[in-house]
Parts: sequence; structure tokens; C-alpha cells
Amino acid sequence: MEPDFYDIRIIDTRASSIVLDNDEIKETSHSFIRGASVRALVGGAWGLVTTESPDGLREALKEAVRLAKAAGEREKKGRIELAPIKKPLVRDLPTIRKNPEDVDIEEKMELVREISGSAQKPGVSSVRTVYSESEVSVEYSNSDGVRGCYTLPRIGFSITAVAHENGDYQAARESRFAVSGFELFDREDPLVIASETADIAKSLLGARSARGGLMPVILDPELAGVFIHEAVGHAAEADHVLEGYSVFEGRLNTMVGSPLITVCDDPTIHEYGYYPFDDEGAEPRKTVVIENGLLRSYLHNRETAGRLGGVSCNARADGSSRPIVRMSNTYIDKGESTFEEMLEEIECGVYLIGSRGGQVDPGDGIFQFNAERGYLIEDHELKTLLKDVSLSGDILEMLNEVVAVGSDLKMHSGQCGKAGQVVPVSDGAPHVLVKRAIVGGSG
Amino acid sequence: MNLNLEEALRLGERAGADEVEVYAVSNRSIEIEIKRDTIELARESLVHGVGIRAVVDGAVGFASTNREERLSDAATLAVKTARLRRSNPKWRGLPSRTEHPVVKGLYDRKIEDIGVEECIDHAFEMIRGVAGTRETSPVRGRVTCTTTEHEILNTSGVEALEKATVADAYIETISRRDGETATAYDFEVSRRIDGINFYGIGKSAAELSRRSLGTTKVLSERTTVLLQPMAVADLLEQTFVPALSAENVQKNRSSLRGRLHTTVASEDLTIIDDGLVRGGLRSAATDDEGTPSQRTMVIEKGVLQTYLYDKYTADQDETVSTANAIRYTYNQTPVISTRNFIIEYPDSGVIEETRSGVIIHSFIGAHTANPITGDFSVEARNSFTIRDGEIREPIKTMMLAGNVFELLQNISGAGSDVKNLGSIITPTLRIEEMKIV
Repeated sequence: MEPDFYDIRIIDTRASSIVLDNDEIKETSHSFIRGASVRALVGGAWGLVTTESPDGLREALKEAVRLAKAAGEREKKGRIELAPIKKPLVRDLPTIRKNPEDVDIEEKMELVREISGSAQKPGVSSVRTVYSESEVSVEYSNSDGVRGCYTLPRIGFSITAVAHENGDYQAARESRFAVSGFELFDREDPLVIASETADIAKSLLGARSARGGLMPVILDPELAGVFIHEAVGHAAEADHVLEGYSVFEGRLNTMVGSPLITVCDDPTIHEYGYYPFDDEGAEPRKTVVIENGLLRSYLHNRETAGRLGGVSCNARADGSSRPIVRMSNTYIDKGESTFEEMLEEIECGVYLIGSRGGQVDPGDGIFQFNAERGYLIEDHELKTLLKDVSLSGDILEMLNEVVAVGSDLKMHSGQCGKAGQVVPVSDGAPHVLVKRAIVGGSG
Repeated sequence: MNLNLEEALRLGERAGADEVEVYAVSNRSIEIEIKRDTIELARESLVHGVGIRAVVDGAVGFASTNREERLSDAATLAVKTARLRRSNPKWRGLPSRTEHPVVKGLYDRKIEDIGVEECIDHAFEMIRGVAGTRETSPVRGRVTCTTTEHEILNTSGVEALEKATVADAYIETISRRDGETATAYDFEVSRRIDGINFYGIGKSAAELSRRSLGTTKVLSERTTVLLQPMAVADLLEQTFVPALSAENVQKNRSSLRGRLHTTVASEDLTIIDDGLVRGGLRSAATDDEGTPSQRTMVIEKGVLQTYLYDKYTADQDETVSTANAIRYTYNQTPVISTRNFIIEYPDSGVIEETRSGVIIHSFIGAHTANPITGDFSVEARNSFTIRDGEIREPIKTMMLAGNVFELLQNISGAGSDVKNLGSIITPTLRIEEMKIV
């Protein structure tokens, strides 16, 4: 039988990495992995077959149709209508100046050793440096006649420094990942970044634990970016909304936060979450999620856009997994305040810097994330350095408590996990002042 | 596709490796995805690939592929990168051929033979389990049945072939009342399909999310905290398990460095890492580089007995591997992790004995804990107050802050509700004097 819709993706990945642990190369690895994914829609359910081989795709399609029928036949379900998409025109691909494949592995190892050396200072007990590069080729086609292909290189490094003193260990981590060739290392000075990371780890040895409580906080661009990704971005994913699992359900075109807040997701900019077309073949577009506090739009794939209305351009998949609604490059847009003006507002509070990750339950709107470090703010000045400090609370309360947004927007690259799939993203923000937030710490 | 493993061994040796290891895995799985109360997707996936480790002068190179025509490139690159590395004089070699123990209960023919229709039946059982609870519905869920065959071959004569099955079921639920919502999840994982109570998973998640409605706020204080099995696992996996890794100890980023044969936990606490548990989810004849599985006493009555080793780190310490090399996929090198990590503590009526405290089901953000110092500050999920030996009101938001190494010293009791969460097997643990915010 004929499915209502099907699509086929073939993904070819070449990846390599070098892990230097203290002075020892812990790992050098190369991989050549191919995957194919065949998806079929019959009525109200999907069938999906994933294999490594693009051979036998016709058989795989038949099996996907059988699975879709089996999944849908037990109950009366509404048909899934997919929103139309604009056919992709692959254009504006980032220019690659130095193909990493043309750089000798010896040179890469030398670079990794230099980065590591730059972080090895007295008091630093352990340094771990990771270099990785990959090149992914995607070939997409579907039963609507949409076709496309592209090849995209990604590259980057991370450095983790651990400082040790009197039984106390403190770690700091920094990374730069980009859609780029080897020229990334000309743009970003990895040796300076490594050296600063080591200094941060050392400084944390003398830091105090934060005393928890409700207080005004300033978030630095990295942490504010994590907040906007974790707490706002995930809740704006339309699949969460349709599951009844988002605090933004039923709130389109209502105020969900301070009028100072504008949040966008933009896969067209050449940050780490960039894609030439999404994993359903749709042309990428910028989405304004929140405009001056007003919830404007969710993020969609074709299925969610078909149900709720909206533009579909955020379908992404990890390898041959199924495309689901994902973010790309997500940020709080620039405001007008300066950091000094924010400090002027605070008699007693905390400045939170960097991120050790976070998590959110978009259903009940609760989030939690940890800063890498912080400073106690007393009498409008940065005072004591704080470690192991975290922020938690309710998404909507937090968005409403924003009283100033800076003009110093900065993006950070990272990986985002959802439903067991990991995709490259970036998030960012300027400095943000929040009048009241729950700070956690053991002090 | 046909990946010839003996051929890969020969290719590596021909390229100049002293030793070569080939790890091949072949998986077939069926997965059913639940969205709200319907089946959204049925998936069948096949995975088949190899990872090749080549050793030259004790330096290890690695490459992987799932493409037959790239097998030779992968073998050559593994050798080439090994040559670029400094030699390691302490390396004594890949595991060599020995007798392998036999572990029963790892394979269930019913799972290998299962069809998509039967998996769908199980998904509906789970959905029905939710339906009996008022004000509550499923959000999403999953039923997965996987059959895995893996093979390890090396030039020292190791030949380990094992076939195993896993069934895994998971559901999240949401409860609503008067504009308030609460969520919860539950899961079970087993080597046997009959080992999973699909209806029960739905029911327990649903009851937990409904019980979590009508929250109260709690004040910051130090109090008695009961961590249910998922909460224990969430915390230990992020903090305590990395500290036990011999690699982290050798590289000076473990708080347990130098603590061998000293008291690191409550003297009633015993922890055993056991790769031989019948039907265990981390059981197998060997670990993922071919060292025969064993039962390892990690903490005995509060005293740290050993770190967890793979072959490489064991050679560096001139000791023997504890068979803790784990691979999650064929395209990564093994890492040190737990096998079945069994936490034992004398059980008692921990809830009834508690005059005042809180009980926590699981955490959000446990991965943000500091893996070296063990400091954490995490958000509790589905937590409740305890007064006079009874569970009372659900708590709106609560953070738990502390240090995992102090926590282990302050255990004062355990429940009888031992749960197997995949790699960690634990009851509820009661901890005194924890900081809640």
C-alpha cells in the first residue's frame, strides 16, 4: 500500500578526535559511519526504519509502511496533516578556509599539546583537552518531491582544568565549537582560553559556598543563554505544547514575561546550531519566540505546524533518528542596560557566571541549573567569589522578574539532548538582571 | 553488510600493530513511542559496526566503521594514530584468553522473537495503567525490545561472543487540578519481557503525579532526607561512581585518591560491583574488552576496598582489572564504569521511624553536580514532607544541597524497596542533617 507520505535521509559522517589527558594522549579516534533512515506516515501514525546501509531502501520503505500501519490500526486516530514547507535552496553555506582533512594529524596533536601546556600551571593538578572535527553529509528526499543535499564541517576543542589544594578540588571548563574549518584556531586563541580556564579553577579553591535564598541576581551571557535555552526554548517546542507538557500551552499572544525580553531562534546564522535545511527538508528561518514579553510563536516541525499552525523549520535529528522539534541558535535579544547600571540596582545579591548545565521540566515549569561560579554583590560591588552556586525556580516567575537586559549579546556553542537525541546548538544572551530568584548553595 | 572480524585483526597486524582488538556489535530493536494516550511511532532499527583498537609500544589507537569498504582504512588509521603516541612502558597487553564464567538469564527468546504488534500491546497496557487514576494522563512513553550480539576478538586469543536481550518501558504522566499541574515518571528495565509489569509502571507514575498535586512550601533547614532509589542513583552516578574510577584516581581528579582501606561511608554500608548477577543488566561473561566478569567488594562496612579498573589502568597500578571496561557503542573506546552496582544497608521502617523530614523520588539537574568534589545542589522532583512516620504533603520546589561523600557518612537507614535501575541496584536511603532550600 502507498503511504500518505515518506522520506529518506542518508547520512555519512567522518569524525575524528584527540583526547589529551594531562600529558598523555588518552585517545585518538576516527570513524566512518553511514546511516539511513526511512520514515513513512500512514493515517495517524509513523513507521521508521533505520539501518546503516543505503542498500535495500525499497525494502526498508515497505517495512516502514508496515510499522506505521501497525502503530495506527488499533485505535481511531485523526490523520496527521503535515504543514507545507518551502523547498530548500542550499545557499549561503559558511566558507571553509582550511579543510581539517588537509591538516596533518601530527599538527593537530601538537596544537592539542600546546593548549594543554598553556593550562598547566602550579596548583593545577589535571588538564584534559579534547579536539574534535567532523564532516556530515546529508542527502534528503521525500514523497512530495523535495530533494536536497549538503556537507557541513564542524570543529572545536574543550579544556577542563582541575586545581587541587588541601583535599579540595575545583574544576573549570571552557570550549569553542563552530561550523568552521581549521581556521577556528586563528579566530579564537586557544592558548589564552586554556590559560584563563586554569586561573578560574585555581581561584575557585579560595571561593566560598553560596548561602541559598531568594535574592536579586545578575546572569552573565553564558548562563542567561542556558536559561533561555533550557527554560524558555524547550517550553516553546511545539511537540511539548501538544503533549500538554509546556507552561506556554494556550498562552500564544499573551504576556509571558517582562517587556524587556525578546527571544529568537535563528538557524540561518553561522553559529553552531546552523543548518542549510532542516531534517525534513525545510528552509531555515528565524523565529521570534517572545517579542517584548509577548509569546509570539512556538518552534515547529511539519507535524506540529500542521496541527497548531505556524512555520515548520526546526525539525532536527541526531543521525538516523527521527526528526523532532529542536532549537538551533537561541538567544535573548539585546537590550540597553550596562553591567554597571545593573550593579547599581543591587545592594545585596549574586552575580552568576558560566554554566555547568541545567535541566528543566517544561510541564510544570520548574528549572534548575548550576553556575560555574559567582560573586556576592554587596553595596553595588562585586565582593566574595562563590563556588557551587545554582539557580532554580519557575520559568514564568523568572521571566517576569527580569528588570534589565544588557547590550552585550554573546553566543555559546553546546550540545542539546532531548528524547535521547543530541544535536549541536548555540545559545546566548546579554547580561540580565533578575529582581528575585532562588539561589542554591550549601554555605 | 558483512564485516569480517578476523580480516580486521589481520589488517591491523599487517599495518604494524603489536596487538589488535576488534569489537563488533549487532543490534536489532523495536521501539514503540507513546504520545499522550496513543501510539505515535513504531520503529525498527538495525545497528552493526566494529571498533578496532591497535596497540603499538603500549600506545593505543582507535578507529571504527559500519562500512565494509572502510574496514581496511579504519584498521590502518588505528595503527597510524597509535604510532604517533608516546609508548607506555607499563602496558602489559590486552586481556588474554582465559576461562569465561557463564552468566544465566541474559537472553530471552521471547524478546528476540517479539513482533511490533506485541510491543504495541505492551504500550497500551502501560497507557491503561495510567487511565485508572483521576485527573491524570500520559504525556509520553516508550517500549523498547532489543537483541544484542557482541563479539570481542583480540590477537592474544580472546574470543568472547554473547547474545543478550533487554526490554525497557518508560512513561511520563501529568496530573491537573484547578490550574495546578504535577508530573512524574517511572520505568522498568529487564532482560526478560515477563520481568516487566507494564500496567504497574503506568499506575505508579500516574499515582505519583496525582499525589504531587496540592503542594506546600518548605522552609530552608537542615533535616532528615529519604532518597528513593531513583534519587540515590541520580546522585551516585554523577559523583560517587566517577570518583571510584581508577583513571580519575590516577589522574588526580578523584576525592577518593589516597582513601583506600579507610572509612569513606557509614559503617553499615556495603557496595558490591558484580558483573555476574543472574539476569543483571550489566552482567556478561566478560567486560567489554574481554576480561572475565567478577564480583568486586567496593565498600565493605564503610571501608573502601578497591577502585574500578579496566586493563589499561590496572597495568598502570600493577594490579588486575576488575572487569569494569564498558562500551556504550562500537564507535567509542571502552570507559570505566560500574557493572551491577549493588548498594546494601540493613533495612528498617525508614518512613515510620522518621518524625520529621522529607522524601525525594528523583532529581532534576543531578548532572550539574561537581564530579570531583562531590558537591551538589539539585532540584528535587516529586518530594513530600514526612511527619510522625507518615508521608504528608507534596512539596512545590525544593533544592537539596550537600556533598556526596558527607552524605555517604550520614546514612542512617534504608528501606526494603530495592530497585534495579539498570546499573545501580539500591533501596531508599535515609540521610541525616541534609540542607534543603
